Formats: sequence, structure tokens, C-alpha cells
Amino acid sequence: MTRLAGEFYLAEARPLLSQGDIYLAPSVVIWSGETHRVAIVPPAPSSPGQVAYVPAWSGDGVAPSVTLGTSWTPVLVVSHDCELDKEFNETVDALVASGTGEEDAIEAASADPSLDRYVLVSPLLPYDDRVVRRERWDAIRAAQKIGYFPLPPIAEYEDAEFLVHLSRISTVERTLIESCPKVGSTSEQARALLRFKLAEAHSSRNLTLVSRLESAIGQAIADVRTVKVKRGDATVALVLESGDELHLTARADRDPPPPPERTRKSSGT
Amino acid sequence: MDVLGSVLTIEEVKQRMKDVRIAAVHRGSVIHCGERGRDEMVILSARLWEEVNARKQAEMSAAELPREPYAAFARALEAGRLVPAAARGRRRMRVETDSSLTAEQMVALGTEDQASSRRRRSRDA
Repeated sequence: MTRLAGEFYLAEARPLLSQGDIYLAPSVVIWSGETHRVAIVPPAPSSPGQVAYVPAWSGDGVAPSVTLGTSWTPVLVVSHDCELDKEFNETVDALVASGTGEEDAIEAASADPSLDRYVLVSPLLPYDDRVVRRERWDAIRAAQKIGYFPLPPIAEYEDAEFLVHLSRISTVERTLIESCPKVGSTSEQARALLRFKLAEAHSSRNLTLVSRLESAIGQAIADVRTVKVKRGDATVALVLESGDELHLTARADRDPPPPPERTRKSSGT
Repeated sequence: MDVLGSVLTIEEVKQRMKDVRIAAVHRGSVIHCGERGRDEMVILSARLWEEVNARKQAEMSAAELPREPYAAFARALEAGRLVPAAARGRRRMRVETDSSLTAEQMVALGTEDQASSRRRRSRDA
């Protein structure tokens, strides 16, 4: 179970499209191969959880055959708030700089659907063996599994519990997502956890070291002790005022570096 | 695209199947034509195409989602508790639009620790 100090969901959903919001909306997986089981335009999904498959095109030997599988489920908005309104704010700034009043600039930019058109979402998936193997569930629930974001039971929806598989992110047009029902919003703490899990999954696989260094910044060093000395290697522990320890390892270079080259200035003085 | 009774070459069938073994199994149910060579052009029967198609469909169905976990949302929709969001708008704020680091600094920060980037590779990788 994910344990955060505060609540995971807000009592009132955020009014504006935000990172960590949950909408009932489409998301897509692009499949290889083609299928023709469905009509060209499938009917609207009769209930959440339904998937419709339509062929995008038939392969010609160079371009592969493609089928789109579109799900209709609750989805989590993963785009950062700044990314959701970046072009809008740039446009307003440019209009204001050119002499337009801020109110008018905001109105003009708000009416432009091309600004910040794309939103990244990822479907909420059930804890089910077809989605992810059972033995991983506990680690996902505890937010320990890289590549997954856990959503604890949602009281307003009969304690339905989901996970987000961060490889299932797809792009949805902003006007589409904003026209869909909003299920709710996650808290600031949950959003912080989401941002960490996104960075962990998509770029830095292990942020432990960075996190420890960040938490150490600003703290006084209360003590220093030697952990290990072996030949040219030494590890010392910096004991911080919080009681945490940072272990630093120093290695002596086996081959001494070449002497620095003299610059013209130094050689002339 | 009308696939029933389509004219496809063996190679096209193989390409679509991505599996030569399956195509070979079905070869007995195709009709050879002489226009482009005996093994080049085939006419797929509707039954064969259905079989070809069903295989991919089965793969996709295996990955489909169970509906039950989403039943609470279906009930909320029926009860009218889940309706399209009314509020739309934008946030006026100062946003970071440019990276504050040089490309070299980004490379230095983004370079993975060798120990954490080890991975097993499959034989065909």
C-alpha cells in the first residue's frame, strides 16, 4: 500500500487540467499487424474498460501493418503543469511585450486551440495478472517498482484500486481530454511521487544518490568517521546533523596525472 | 479494405502473418494461379483470411482489460455522477521554457552509472 503523510486524492478536483488529474478518456496502444474484426468506425464503448481495434493501414513491405487499440478507461494526466500551459504563457508574454493589455492577451491566447495541444495520459489499469504479474503487486503498491505508479483505493469509486504502467503513456488532444468526465485530482504529495516515478522510469533509473545529496544540502556535518581504508581507497562517513550518513569514497589514481601545461601567461611571469 | 477474396502473394501472406510456419500450414487451402508463377499469386479464401486474422486478434484479446474493475465508473456514469468537466481555462504563470544547463552539462548529468545500466540481451539483440 502506498503510504503518504497526507491524502492521496483531493476532496475537490482541481478546476483546471493538471498533472495528476484523472479523467475518463481514451488512450491508445499502437499494435503491430492488422485486424479486421471490427467495423471501420466501431460504436462508442458501452462501458469503461472496453478496447476498440481499427487498422491504421496495411503494410507494404516497407511500412509495417498497424492496428490501433483504443481503450476507454480512467486515465492519469502525466504532463507537467508547466508543459500544459507553456505555449499559452509564452504567447501571452509575447503579446504583452508587443503592447497588448494582459487581459486581452490572455483572452486571445486562450482562444487558440493550437497552443499546448498535446497532453500525455496513461490509463489506470487494474491489479490483474493480464496487466502485470501478481508477484509484482506488493512492490508496485509500495511505490518500489520502477516503471509503475500506484493509485490506492478511490473511496468515491467503491474503493477501486489501480496502477499506472508508465510505458502505456499516449498523446491525447487537449480539447478531447477537456471534454471528458473528470474523475478527480491527486494531492500535491501524490503529484510529487508521480514526478519522481516518471523521472525514475523514463530517464534516471536510480535516483537514490541524487536524492541523498539533495537532502544533505544545508545540513551541518556533525561527525566524520573512517569506514574503510584499503591501499589507495578510503571511505569516510559524514554524519549529518539529522543523523543520516553520507559515505564518500576516494580513490587514489594508480597513474599520476601528467603535470599541467604551462600557459603563456604563467610562463611569462 | 475488402479482404475477403483478396488476391495476395505468398510473400504478402507471410509478411502479414510474420510467421512462415503458419503460412505453410495454410498453404493447402489457397488456390494457385498461373499469371505470375505458380508460387507467386494466391487467392485467399474467406475462411483462410478469417483464420489469419483470428490469430492476431487472439494476441490482442489476451492483453485486453478485464471490465469488472471499471464497473464503479460505469455505475457513476449511469447515475450521472460523472459528467464532462465544465471548467476549462489556463494558468497564467512564469514557466521555464529554456533549459538552464549547457548540452555538455546535460550529458554529464544524464550519463548513466555503468553499474546501473547493465542489462541482459537476448540472443537476437
